[in-house]
Amino acid sequence: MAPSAPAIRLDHVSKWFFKDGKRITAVDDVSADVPEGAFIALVGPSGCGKSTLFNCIAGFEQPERGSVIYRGSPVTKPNIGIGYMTQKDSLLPWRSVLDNVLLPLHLQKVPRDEAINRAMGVINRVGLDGFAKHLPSELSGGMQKRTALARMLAYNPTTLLMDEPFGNVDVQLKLQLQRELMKLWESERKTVVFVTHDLEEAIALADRVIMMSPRPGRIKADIAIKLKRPRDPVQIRFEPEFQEIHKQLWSLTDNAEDAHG
Amino acid sequence: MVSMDDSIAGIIDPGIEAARRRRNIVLAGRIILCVGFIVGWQIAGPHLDKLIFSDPSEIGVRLWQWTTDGTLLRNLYVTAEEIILGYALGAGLGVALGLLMGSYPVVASIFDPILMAVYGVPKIAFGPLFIVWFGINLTPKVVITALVVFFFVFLSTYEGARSVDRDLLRVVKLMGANGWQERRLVIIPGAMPAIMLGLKLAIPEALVGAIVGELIVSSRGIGYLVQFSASQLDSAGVFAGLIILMVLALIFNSAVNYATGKSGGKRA
Repeated sequence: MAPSAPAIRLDHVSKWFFKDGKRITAVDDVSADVPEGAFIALVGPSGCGKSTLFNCIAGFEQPERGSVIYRGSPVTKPNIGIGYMTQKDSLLPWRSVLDNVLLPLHLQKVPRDEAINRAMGVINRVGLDGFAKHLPSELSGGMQKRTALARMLAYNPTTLLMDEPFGNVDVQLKLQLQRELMKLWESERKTVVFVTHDLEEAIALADRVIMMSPRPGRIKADIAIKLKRPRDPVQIRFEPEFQEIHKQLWSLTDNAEDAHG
Repeated sequence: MVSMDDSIAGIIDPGIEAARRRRNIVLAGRIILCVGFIVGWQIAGPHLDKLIFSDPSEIGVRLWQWTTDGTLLRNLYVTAEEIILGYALGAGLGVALGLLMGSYPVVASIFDPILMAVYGVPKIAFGPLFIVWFGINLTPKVVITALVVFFFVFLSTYEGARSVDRDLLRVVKLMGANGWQERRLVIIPGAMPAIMLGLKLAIPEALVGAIVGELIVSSRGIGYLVQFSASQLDSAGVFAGLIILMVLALIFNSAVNYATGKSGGKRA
C-alpha cells in the first residue's frame, strides 16, 4: 500500500460537556491517524471517551477543540456514506430483513433490480439465506446482528465504524460473529474503527489497539498487533504471541494493580 | 357430544377449555343482567313516576315510531355527518401537527404552551364561541367534534413520534437520508401504532363532541332528539335517544377495534 493521506485523522481532539455547572472533559487532546484499510480497535473502560470519539468520527458531535479529518476534509456534519453499527442493532422493526438491507441502497438510488441482487448477495454472505422475508422480531439475537452487518455492508462503504457491535451477545455467538467479521474484512480490507471494552476482542481482530485512559480520555497506548493474517480470532487466542500481547496490554490497564482484577 | 377437535384440544391444552367456559359464563351473565334489568324496569314501571322513569315498552314504542316515521334516519344522518366531518378534520390536523412537533423540537417548543392551555379547557366551553362564529347549523358541531378529536389524535401522535428510537434516525442519516426521508422512513412508521391508538380512542370522543354541540343548540340530530324530548317532559323519548347513542358508540367501537386490530398488529 502506497503511503497516502490517512482515512481518518484525529488532530488534537478535545471534547467536553457541562454537568451541574462543572466542566467535564470527555476527550483530552487525542491525536491519531487511521490509514486506509486498517483495522483499529479503540479500547478502554467506560467513561474513557471512546464513544465520544466515535461520535465525532461519525459526525454526530463536533470536537470543542481540534478536528476530525475524514479522507482529507473535516467532519462537521453526519459523515454520510460510512458504515455504522452499534450495540443496538437499530433495525427498522417494521421492515423485513431484505427491506432493511435494501434501505441504504434505496437511499443511494440504486436501481431496484440491482439493489435486490446486491441485498440478497450480502444476506447470503452473512448466512441469512432463507430469512430475507422475516421481520427482525422473528429472528434470534445473532441473526439480528447479522442483518445489521448485512445492511452495513450492502452499500459497500469504505469505512466501518463499530461501537461494541457484539457487546450484548453471549460469548459463543460473539466469537462466531468475530470470526465472520474477520473473514469479511480480510476479503475486502475496509478501514475499520472498532470500539470495545473487551481487550481480547480488540487484540484478536485489530492491526492496532489504541488504549484510552478514563476521564479525561487520553491515549494511553497505541500498539501495533503483529499477529499473522489471515487470522482466526478464536484460534489466535491460544497462540503464545497473543498471550504475550494480552499480558503487555493488560499491565497497562488500571485493573493491573488489583492483583486478581 | 364432544367432537374430536374439542377432545384433542382438551388433552393438549386444558387452558383452551377453561377459557371457553369462562367466555360462556361472561356471555350468559351479560344476557341475564340485561334481560333482568329490562324486565325489572317493566315490572316496576307502574309504581314509578312515569314522567321521570318511563318504562321499556314505552321506550320500545317510541323507538319504533321514530324508525317508521323517518325521525330516526333523518336525525341520525345529521349526527353522523357531524361526526364524520369533525373526525376527519380533527384527526387530519392531529396527525399532521403531532408528526410536525414530534420531528421538529423547535416547533414543539413554540406550540406546546398554547396547545396545553386549550387542552385544559373543557371543550364544551368553546360551544358558545363557535355558535357566534359559525351559526347554529352544521359547522359549530363539526368544529367542536374536530377540536375534541384533534387532541386525542395529536397527543398520541406527538408522543409516538417523539419516542421513536433516536438511534434508528442516526443510522438512517448516515445512510444518506434527508430530513423528509428520515420522517417518511423512520418517524411515521415508528409512530404508527401510537397514531392508530389515538385514532381509535378518538372515535367515541367524536360522538361526544357532536352530541355536546347538539345539546348546546340545534334543530336536528340525535342530541337534539334527547334535548327536545326532555323539554316536552317525554322521558321515553330521552331514553330512546340515549339508547340510540349507546348503539352508535358500540358500533363505532367495534368497527375501530376491527380495523385497528388488523393494521395495528402489522407493525409489532
